[in-house]
Amino acid sequence: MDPYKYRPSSAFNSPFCTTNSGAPVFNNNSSLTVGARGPVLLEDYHLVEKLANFDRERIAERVVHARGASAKGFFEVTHDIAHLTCADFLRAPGVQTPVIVRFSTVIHERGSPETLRDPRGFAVKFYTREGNFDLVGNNFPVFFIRDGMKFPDMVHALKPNPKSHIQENWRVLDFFSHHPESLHMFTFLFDDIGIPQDYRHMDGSGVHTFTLINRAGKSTYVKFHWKPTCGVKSLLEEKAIRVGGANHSHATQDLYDSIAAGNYPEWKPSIQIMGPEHEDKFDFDPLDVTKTWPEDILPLQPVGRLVLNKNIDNFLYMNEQLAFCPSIVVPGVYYSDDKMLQTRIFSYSDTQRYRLGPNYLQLPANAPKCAHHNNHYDGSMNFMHRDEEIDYFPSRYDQVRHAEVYPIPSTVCSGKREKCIIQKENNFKQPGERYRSFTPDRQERFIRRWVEALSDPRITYEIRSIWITYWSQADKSLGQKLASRLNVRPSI
Amino acid sequence: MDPSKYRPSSAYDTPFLTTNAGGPVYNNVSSLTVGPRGPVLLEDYYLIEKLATFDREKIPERVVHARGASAKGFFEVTHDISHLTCADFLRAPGAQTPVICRFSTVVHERGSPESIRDIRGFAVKFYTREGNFDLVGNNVPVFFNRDAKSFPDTIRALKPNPKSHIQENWRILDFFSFLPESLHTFAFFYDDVCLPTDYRHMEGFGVHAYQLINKEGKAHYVKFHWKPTCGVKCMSEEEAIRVGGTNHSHATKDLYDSIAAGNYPEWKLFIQTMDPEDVDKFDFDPLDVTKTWPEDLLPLIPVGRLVLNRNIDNFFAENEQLAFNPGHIVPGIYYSEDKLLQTRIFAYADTQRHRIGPNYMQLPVNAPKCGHHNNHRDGAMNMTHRDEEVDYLPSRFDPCRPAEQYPIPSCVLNGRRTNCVIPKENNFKQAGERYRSWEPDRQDRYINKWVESLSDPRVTHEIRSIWISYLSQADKSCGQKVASRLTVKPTM
Repeated sequence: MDPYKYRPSSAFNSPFCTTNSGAPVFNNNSSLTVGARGPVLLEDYHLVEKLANFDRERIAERVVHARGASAKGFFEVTHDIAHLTCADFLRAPGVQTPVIVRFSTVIHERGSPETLRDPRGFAVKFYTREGNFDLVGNNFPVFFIRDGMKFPDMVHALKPNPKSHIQENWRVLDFFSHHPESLHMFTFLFDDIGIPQDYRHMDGSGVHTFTLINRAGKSTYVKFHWKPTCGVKSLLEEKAIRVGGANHSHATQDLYDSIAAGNYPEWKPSIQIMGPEHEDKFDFDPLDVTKTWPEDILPLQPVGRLVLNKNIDNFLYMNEQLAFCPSIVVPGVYYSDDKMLQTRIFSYSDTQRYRLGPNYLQLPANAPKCAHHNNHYDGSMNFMHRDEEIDYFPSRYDQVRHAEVYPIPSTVCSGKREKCIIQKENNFKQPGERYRSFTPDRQERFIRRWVEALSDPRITYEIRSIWITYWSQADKSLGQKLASRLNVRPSI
Repeated sequence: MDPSKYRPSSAYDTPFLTTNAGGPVYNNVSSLTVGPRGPVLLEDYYLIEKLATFDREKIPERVVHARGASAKGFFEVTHDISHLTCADFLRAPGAQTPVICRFSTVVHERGSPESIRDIRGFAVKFYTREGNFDLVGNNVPVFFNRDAKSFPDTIRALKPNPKSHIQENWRILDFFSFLPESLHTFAFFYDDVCLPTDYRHMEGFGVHAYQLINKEGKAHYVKFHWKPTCGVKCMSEEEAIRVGGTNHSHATKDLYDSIAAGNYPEWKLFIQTMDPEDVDKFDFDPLDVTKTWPEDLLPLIPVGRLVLNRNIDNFFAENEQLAFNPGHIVPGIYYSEDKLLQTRIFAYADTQRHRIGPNYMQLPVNAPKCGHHNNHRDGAMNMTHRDEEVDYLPSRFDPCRPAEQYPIPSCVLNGRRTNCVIPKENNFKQAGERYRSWEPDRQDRYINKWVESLSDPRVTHEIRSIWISYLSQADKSCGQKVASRLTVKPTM
């Protein structure tokens, strides 16, 4: 299956204007009218075609991460981790894999300022020889909630009020007051790094725990980290107002201009690994997406580098139509039982089928660069040229066979059907540790942001008390400071 | 056809959670897993339903006017114009008609700041007893181009660069350098009025010439004007940076908060009328959308008032799904031969069919409030309950008959098929008059804007010279000032 064959492109341009069916257009400026000043005739087919095409230019924006920018480049292995994974693209130092990366904000719409306090998406598509691997992460290493069942509610709470269309703190803090596991994420969101200077000066993270599997079938839990070589830089509130007010696309422009100027952004990826046999030895659940793994015990190990050295050719093709999906993994990389990751495996491709259509994986930005073959057939806007007579499997007329078996986790899944919360919640320890690691002025800014958020007049006394109780459990002095600034007594 | 019948709504809420099929949901927070920490099961139907609905929440944004806010209220006739039109909603002073209004920016995306220099949309849907009348205008009385064959090109030039996704002056000034008729609109676009403080403090215009027709069939050309009772207010560039950088939805919030506080925005409706016999008496073409009608010769006649006294219940239902269409007129009002209006009659409904679906007119906010009937049937998401057996016309079993004939323009249309520009272009006079009507500081700001745009390093010497020559033809001193600031000699 070769998605580049039989595809219209600018390479076949005629030197003059035509209709989409190829007929010459001798006037692209004036509609066909009855005389010079009369009404327009329905028979002006080119006019109708042109307007009708224009009328359909927009596609549905992403339900989250609608605002973003993308760029291309390569990933290069610098350190051998072949003992941990049989992934072909990680096979040896020096191996390069083409990538496309998309950075984004999460909550607000297409066109919203890139200076809003929000997590930033950091999604990397590796076009490997064994198919694409999508590492669809953020600039923060944790997430607000640990079960995808809550994801739509969470996004609704963070998005603008469905009546007033304004993002409102009382809705955000109402919802999360039911979710103390969100505290850790808030120590990132309400920290300075909640507004990165641009897309180049921020970390990336795979967020979830994934599984690496080597040739022998041995599994290792893994967390992925991206560190920018130019360092992490943030915008404080005042600066963000000016930057975003002057150019609501400043980060898109920064990325594009940097690459155009040959100043290629680069990140060093590293991993933390954990043998599954150790997963019960911690006071938290290592598969819990609201937790980080302590770097003193599980140090960062360098793996490679990511260089973005090419701007995209077209924003719709390679940004709007670019589709990531955490379910797209390659042999040697597997999911973990993290409940948030498990539900993302379903959601991403589901939303792309709605947003782009059932054949979205045929679009060149999304199609693998390696040979591929199956009988996922037909459907709207299928532009694959196929001439086989066998579109079923198995067949004695078609030689295609199953691929070689590659190792997947061999653990036994055992348990009753359950809808429940994990046992080791431990919601407060890591947020407290993170707060205490801040310098005093950074702590002060963090507190100020919380006081501001909790001062929303629609926040009830109950919600305010709950938050002060939560923060007191994370760090006593933090809770006390918030309480005294808000004139509320912690209820514990 | 009653679209509010058989329609699910919040009024039928259960006190507990259910699936969309009505089944009770006892756990909305945790996915169904193998044991408390195991992988998620596919059989968790509610989880899939919840995620899949969420995955489809967004619909394509409007191809233009994506960013906006709406509100409801009423229109009241204050002055009798029944000698000019047989429109029922204009029948007599005191007659009130419910309306919904939508204000918007034009060029940027759904979440873009409302503080960007741009034309503002001003669209009013009158739910009259003879069907809906959509007056889909702007806060600027003229438009960039007079033939919609170049409308898609106009918008593409104004929209972000398809490669870098940044709005760029060299693209705007390249395209419009072929359209000298755009100069008059630039005298608004680069003037203070294209940075209104919010949606309440701006004028509105029907933009095109329409026709009013009275009971006897006598037609008059007409232009519609909305004047805010609280006056027109604009922001400086500096203010706009702060306002937009602080809250990218400031105008949406201002409108919502004003109405919620009982401070109802109000506009007075005025018309200018012209007897079709006088159409050739001017040095410009009165049906040319790039021209205003001189108010000294054709004075503003008061007609009524528009009061917005109700916020919408839901932003998606009554803003995203709200569909305007200049094709929607009522008896007593008719289109003119303005070529831009003629093509809008086609394009608006066409784009709504793409964006919302073929039955978008059944959505309560779009449906008429009066009885209506036809055999436009079936199609995706048809929610009209119909039980007739005759779905064709004419029929001897269905007594439905055509409506009473109402008057339409009786003039004879006469001419060859032609793709051409109107004879009386007169591109520069009104732009120059407008410039000369300003205070010196306002002129300065306008010149600054031109100098800034023409200083884009990708604007070529040729393009710069063309614009200086256009500006000089409108007003010699204006052209000279821009030229001297840019150190370019006008070529004329």
